[in-house]
Formats: sequence, C-alpha cells, structure tokens
Amino acid sequence: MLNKLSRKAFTPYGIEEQRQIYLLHKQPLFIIGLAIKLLLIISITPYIHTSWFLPFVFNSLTSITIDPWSSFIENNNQINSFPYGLSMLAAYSPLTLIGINLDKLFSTNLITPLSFRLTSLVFDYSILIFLALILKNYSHKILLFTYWCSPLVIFITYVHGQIDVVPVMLLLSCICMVGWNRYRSAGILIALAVSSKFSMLIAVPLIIIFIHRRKGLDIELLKFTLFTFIGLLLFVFPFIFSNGYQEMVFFTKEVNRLYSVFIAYGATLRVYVVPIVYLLTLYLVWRLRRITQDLFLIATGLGFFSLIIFIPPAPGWFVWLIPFLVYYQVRSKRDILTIGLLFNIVALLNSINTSNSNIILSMPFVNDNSYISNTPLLINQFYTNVLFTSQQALAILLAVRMYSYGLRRNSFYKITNDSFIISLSGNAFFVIPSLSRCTKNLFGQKFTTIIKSSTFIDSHMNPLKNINKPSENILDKSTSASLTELSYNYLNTPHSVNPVYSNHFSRGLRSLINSVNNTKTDFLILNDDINMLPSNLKKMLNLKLNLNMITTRDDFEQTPSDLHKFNINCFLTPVNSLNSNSLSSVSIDKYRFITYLPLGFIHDQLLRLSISICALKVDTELTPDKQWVKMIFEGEPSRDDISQIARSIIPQIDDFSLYESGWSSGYIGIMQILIISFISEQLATTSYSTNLKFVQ
Amino acid sequence: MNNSLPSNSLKRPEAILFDTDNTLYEYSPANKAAESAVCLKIKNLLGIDKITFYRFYNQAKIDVKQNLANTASGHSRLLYFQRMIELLGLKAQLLLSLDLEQTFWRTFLANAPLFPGVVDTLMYLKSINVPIAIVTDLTSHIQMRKLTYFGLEDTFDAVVTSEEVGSDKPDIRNFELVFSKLGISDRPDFWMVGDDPFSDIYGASSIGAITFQKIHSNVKKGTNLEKPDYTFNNYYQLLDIFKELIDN
Repeated sequence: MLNKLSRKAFTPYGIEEQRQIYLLHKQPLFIIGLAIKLLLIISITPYIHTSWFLPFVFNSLTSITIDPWSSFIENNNQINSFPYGLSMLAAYSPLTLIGINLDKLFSTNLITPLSFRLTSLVFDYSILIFLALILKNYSHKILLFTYWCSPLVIFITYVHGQIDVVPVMLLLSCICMVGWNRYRSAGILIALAVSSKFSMLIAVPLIIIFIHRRKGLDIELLKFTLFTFIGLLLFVFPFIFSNGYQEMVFFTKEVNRLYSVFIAYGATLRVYVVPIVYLLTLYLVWRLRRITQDLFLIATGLGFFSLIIFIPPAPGWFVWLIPFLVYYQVRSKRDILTIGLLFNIVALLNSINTSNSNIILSMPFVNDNSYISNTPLLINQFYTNVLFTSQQALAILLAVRMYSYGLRRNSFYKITNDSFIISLSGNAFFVIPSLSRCTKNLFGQKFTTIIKSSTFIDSHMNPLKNINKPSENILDKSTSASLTELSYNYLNTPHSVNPVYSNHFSRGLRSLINSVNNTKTDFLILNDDINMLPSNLKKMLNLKLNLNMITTRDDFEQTPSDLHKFNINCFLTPVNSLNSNSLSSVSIDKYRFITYLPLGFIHDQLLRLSISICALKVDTELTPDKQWVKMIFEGEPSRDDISQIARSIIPQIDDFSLYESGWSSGYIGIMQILIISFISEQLATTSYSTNLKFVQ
Repeated sequence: MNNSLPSNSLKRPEAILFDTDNTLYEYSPANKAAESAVCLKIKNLLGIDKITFYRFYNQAKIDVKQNLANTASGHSRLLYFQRMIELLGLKAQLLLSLDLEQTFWRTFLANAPLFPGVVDTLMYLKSINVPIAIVTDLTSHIQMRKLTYFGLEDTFDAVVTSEEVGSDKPDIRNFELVFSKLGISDRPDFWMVGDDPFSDIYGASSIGAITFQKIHSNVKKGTNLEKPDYTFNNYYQLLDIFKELIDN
C-alpha cells in the first residue's frame, strides 16, 4: 500500500496540471472560442436537432420505457433519428430534461433545444480538458487554436449539429485513465464510448495493443478487457435483441459507407478497401515492440484517418479525428497554420457542399422565419470533386506526416530487434545482483533479461575440471572475481594455455554472444566484469556502469584513472572506516555512495533534488581534468523520494512505462535514476534510435 | 493591479524583499496535498482514519503553537507529528515522526510550483542590479530546501528566516537582519513583496517600505494599517509595475 503514496497515485493530476488548465481559461483564444460557440448556440438551431435528435430524446424522456428505440419507432417516427446508443441518450438527457420542464413552466419551446445544444458544449469543453490532461506540457495557444477554435469542429458541432463530441470525449477520458494506470475506469469508459457510437470500436484494439505493449499479458490488460466486457454487457447487450435498437443503431446507413469503396475483382467479386487499410494500421502498430503514448494516440488518429480517407466521410466523422490531429499538432508544433488549417477549411467547405440538405438553420431569436440554406456551394460536379479530392489529399498528407512523426517520437522503444544492453560490472559483488534485480523490477520482469556472463563460461569449462588443469590452477576458483581474471588473461594476453581449455572457453563466449543476440526483451542486463567480454560484445553495450568498492583512503581521495571506460562510475565506501576487512557483511546503508558523472549530465538537478526532496548530504566537486563531477552521497532516500526525483529529472519517464513498485530505496535507487537518465538521454540524442527496422 | 501611490514619487529601492510561502508559490494546495499524503500513510501504518488523524493533528498544531508562539519552530511539522503521535498514545515514535515529516515535505514540494513569472521578475531585478532578499518565517532548513527545489538557490543576495532571529515577522529584527546581510543602512528605501497583510505588509510598512501584496485565492487584501501600496494577481503584473516604477 505504501507505494500508493506517490503523488500520481492519490491525485491523478497534480497542482501543476490544475494550474495549466486554469491558465488555459485565461487565454483570449478560450474566451473568443467560447463566445463564438455561445453565440451559435443561442442563435442557431441545427435542422438535425429539431427533426432527428430532439424528437427521440423528448420521446424517451416523456414516455419512459426500457426500450426507447422501439418505443420511438412504434410512434411512427423516423428510423434514422437517433443512430446512437444508451450512453448518448444518457449524456443528452439531464440538460434536455431541465429544458423540457422549463419550457413547460414558461410555456415556450425554446429552452429544450437550447439545453440540448448546451450539452454539446459541455462535452466539447470536456474534450479540451482531457486533451490538456493527456498532453501535460503544451502550448495553450496552439491547443486552443487547433481544437477550441477549430472552424471544422465549430461548424460540425454547432452549425451542422452533429453530436459526436460525446463518444470522442468518452474515448479521450478512457485514454487518460490508461495513462493514469486506471484500467477498470478505462474499460468502463471505452464501453460507454462504444455504447454511444459503435465506430469507437475502431480504437478498442489499439488500446488493447497499447496496454499489452506497456504491461504485457498481465493484470492490467485483464482488468481493462474485463471491465470493457462488463460495460458492454451493461450498456449494449440489454438492447441488442430490441428491434428498434437493431434498426436505428446497428443497421444505420453509415454502416453501408464502409462498403462504398472497393476494388472490383472481376464481374462479381469485390475487395472492400477500408477493412484492409484498418487491418494494416493495426498490424503496423502490433509490430512495434513497445509503444509510447505519442505513437498510440497518433496510431488511433490514423485509424480514424483510414475511414476518412477511404470512404466518403459523414461530417460528424471529422470530430473523431480532430483531437488526435490536435495532439499531433501540439506535440510536434507542425502543420498548425499550413496543412492543418487548410485541412480544416477544405473539410469545412466540403461538409457544407456535400451535406446541403442537412444544414437548414433556424434563428429563433432573430425572427420567426427560418433561414434555409439547402443549396450546395458548388453546382458543378467537377468542382465538387476537386474540393473533395483536395480534402482527401490533405488528409493523406497529414496521415503520412503524423505517422512519420509518431515513429520518430517512439524512439524510446524503437522499432528494432536489438535489446538495450546494460553492463553492470565492478567488484561490488554483493550489490550488483541487487541492482540488476531491482532494475529488472523497474522495467518489468517481462521486458528485461539478466545474464551473468561468467555462468556461460563457467558452464562450458566445468568439464575441464576433470582433465589436466592449466598450470595456474585457476579453474578451481569459482568466484566471479577469479573468472574475471581468467577471462581477462585469456582475452588480453598472448598465453599458451591448454588447447582444450581454450576451446571450451571459446565455446562459452560463443554461447554468451548467441544468448545476447537471441534476447528479445527490451532490456538486457549483463553482469560481470566488462573486461571478460569479447570485443564484439563490448561494442554492443549501450550502457556501461561500473560499481566498485573503495577500501583504502588513497582510492577514496584519488580520481580513478579509468573513468572514461564506463558511462557511469559508481563507488561504495564505508562511512566510518576505509579499511574494513569484511565488506560483504556490511549493510549497504552503512556506506557512502560516490559517483562520477560526465560534466553536464544531470549532476546539477540531482544535487538540487537530493538536497531539497530527501535532505541527503551531498558533496560535489569537479575532477582535476574538468571532465567529471564527483558526487558523494550520504543518507537513505526512501523509495518515494527516489521516484519523485526521477520524475523531476527525466522528462520522458512516462514513455518508459516503469513499474512504480520497482523503485528502490537507498543508493540502489540513486543508481536506478542514473541508469534511466542515461538511457533516456542516449535514446533522445544518439543515432541508436534512428536505425529503424521492423520486428522480424 | 491597484496602486495607492503615484509612481513618480518613488525612488529606486535599495533592496526588494520577498516573502516565500504563498508569495512565490501557492501554499494551500501544497499543504493540503502534503497533509493528505501523511494522513494516508498514517492510515496504512497505524490504521487511523482520516477524521481521527485531522483531529489529533490539529490539536498537535495548537499545542506546539501555544508553546512556541511566533517562532520558527512553531511551524515545525516534525514537532506537529511528534506531538500528534504522543496524543495518539503511541509515546515517542521518533523514526515515524521523521518519516512523516519527510513524506510531508516531499509531497509538499511536488505540489508547490512557482507562480508563473516569478523567475522572470527576479531575473529582471538582478539584471538591473537591485538587491533582492528573502525574509520568511519557518525554519532555515526547510526554507533552504524549498528555494533549492525551486532552483532559486543562487538567486537571492540574502536569505533570512525567522529561525535566525527567534521570532516570526512582523518582528522588526527580521528586516534589520536582512539589511545587515545586504550591507545597507538600517532604514533603507526598500520594497516588500508578500501575501500576509499582518506579517508582510504591516511589518514592512511600519519601517517605511513600499509594499506589494500578492492576491490570489484565500488571500484577503489588507486594510487600514495592513493596507498595501500595491496589489497584484500575477507576477507579470508585478514585473510591469516594477518596470514602470524603476524606469521612472
């Protein structure tokens, strides 16, 4: 239970996020967007509200029944009035019910439609807030410009009158919950989204892949699928045998659009394009070993893009897409004023042009007569086609740019076969196994492999114990230290050892290399001294951490000469005595921790946070060659301290999908921070992430 | 923004003093989050429910403040938790007291982001060579930890906590000590930025300061003797005021 004390556990979002949202409201763009929307809500009643949606909701609220769809059809109403499920009805019911009662009270008919439109505003605003929460660090202006003031969203929601903001809000809230590791809530929310509009099913496989890639086949995935299933049982299943529900929700005319684009295979056979494109999108995502939130959201957007691009889209469908496009625009700070805005305008014009009969507007507060616009902008079919082609071309262009950006941002779990290899070496034999184990717990058991190099060599050389031994008699030694010495001698000196011994040793090394090459996990931790590794394996190491014991005062005071051989150098030295003879029996807590960090690598933040968050005693000094910063730590940071420091130091920490319970207290925790920081920095800056290739 | 003095009557200040808590960051949300974290820990460790926790915690605060009125130690969370554990009948649980104190401050800091514009304002003052200093209540150790966490450890020319003086603001000795540290006269032309009408505004104005009160949620503007010369809602406003006043 104590791991729940972390900030994220008891408040899904902190003070900073609350402040960002507060500041979002203070932006002029927010006020402008809100004013435009309120003006439209007051002055325009979309035709589809009065002729389709409101009659259904009114009927459901005034003649309450367990099957509102059948009840509505029985009253001889239009079958395509409300092609949505229970949660959509529930979403629009509260304010509409208030409106109905106020209309009765004041003997008018204006408040009900107004309250219906206000519901759309509530969900539209909620999308903005969830986008802000998912984005975390964002430019207020870009977010408001691309989403809140998007002409396409404003037109579709407040002029055309589509109500797709509800399922999109539920989908975004589900994604938010996944980010906060709340899988039960996420499951219920996605079930609600699907219940409101079945097209949200598009996102479900992507969410499942995302959770699987982050957490593996584990309790998190089980929770999500179980609660999605429970949600569907509660919100969809009770109605599937209802004739009204089937006719109004399942077999809508929108479903037929899926089959409108096809490739003719001879005279009779057809291959429908959309399912193939969608499956291809799923496959591309499935092949990624692990997925960052960026790529997941972009992939979900691409899933919706595949519908928009390959079938003639209904106006409301753009609302599914826009939040994901906005996510890409805000994150990348690209395509905001150029392609993005152009796409908005072209799609807006195309929506006006192709949905002529659906945008009959009435302006109740202007005069009694309705203003009707049922004329297409472009009479000429050729120009209509050109406009549609422009929209689709821009959609394809945006999809390609989103995909390429998503792949690049996914560099943390790059599309490669290679594991990130971490070498933990040194003579701190009683700490290195603990560090390996704790680091494995942090990354996740399924995503990390630990290999003790000496085991391979030892296992291949054991048979030699029964044959003639080399003159040094080193094979009798069984400790890692002796094997290190053995390997080092073997690999680095021109010796004349027993050929049988040499042969077995080589087989051991080959076996080790094969094992490394065959490792499929994201992270591979190699224990044992780096010197015993063959040169080709040394070149494969991505992080070399050296952890040694210091037992003499000279060692403590002198800067080690071989710092450059390793990326991170750590040392433990007894607090009270530098001549302890029984190091292995001394607790790690009775040691002082020393690390040499390359100048400029997190030492400044680590010093500040170690002092401020956990009140450690930290001493820093620059080495004489000014290449390294020596940091000496004394104290016992708790696991929560370590977790908080890591979150402050490593901006991309959420991309690692670490297991919070894997953080360790004490010096091992500090070493975990150093390891994650190094990996984060290396993946962000080196060409390691650019060598993209698909998983075989 | 509200000002009660004509800007052309002001001289360039010899120093500008800042309070810390609720002036550089918003105190209440951080304090609430930290208390909640401790409450949760107590519940997990000792099985004590929220209502009981807050009852004993509030009583412990009253007891400590009564014994150590107007001193830095009167704000010590360590003493609050130690007293609370005693009130709970658990005698001296020293490790637990220390553990709770660490949980409190760790969570507090995680939920105490600087107000937007604070760093810009301070950097502006440094760029025009106006000495800036902190005059704050509470113990030195935690206040220094806070400033370090904010990344302001090298920003101020002097820092005075009420622990150094032995008494909280508005005790005049707090201000005198900071003048001494800054090496300026006993009654300099100085400006004070703070949130508390009594300790910051009254305290500083009683020795001739031009005062600026930070107004946000749960902060009431001072009146009568506690009335500030200027009020501001955000630091960008304050920066504009400073630029206008100092440039004139």
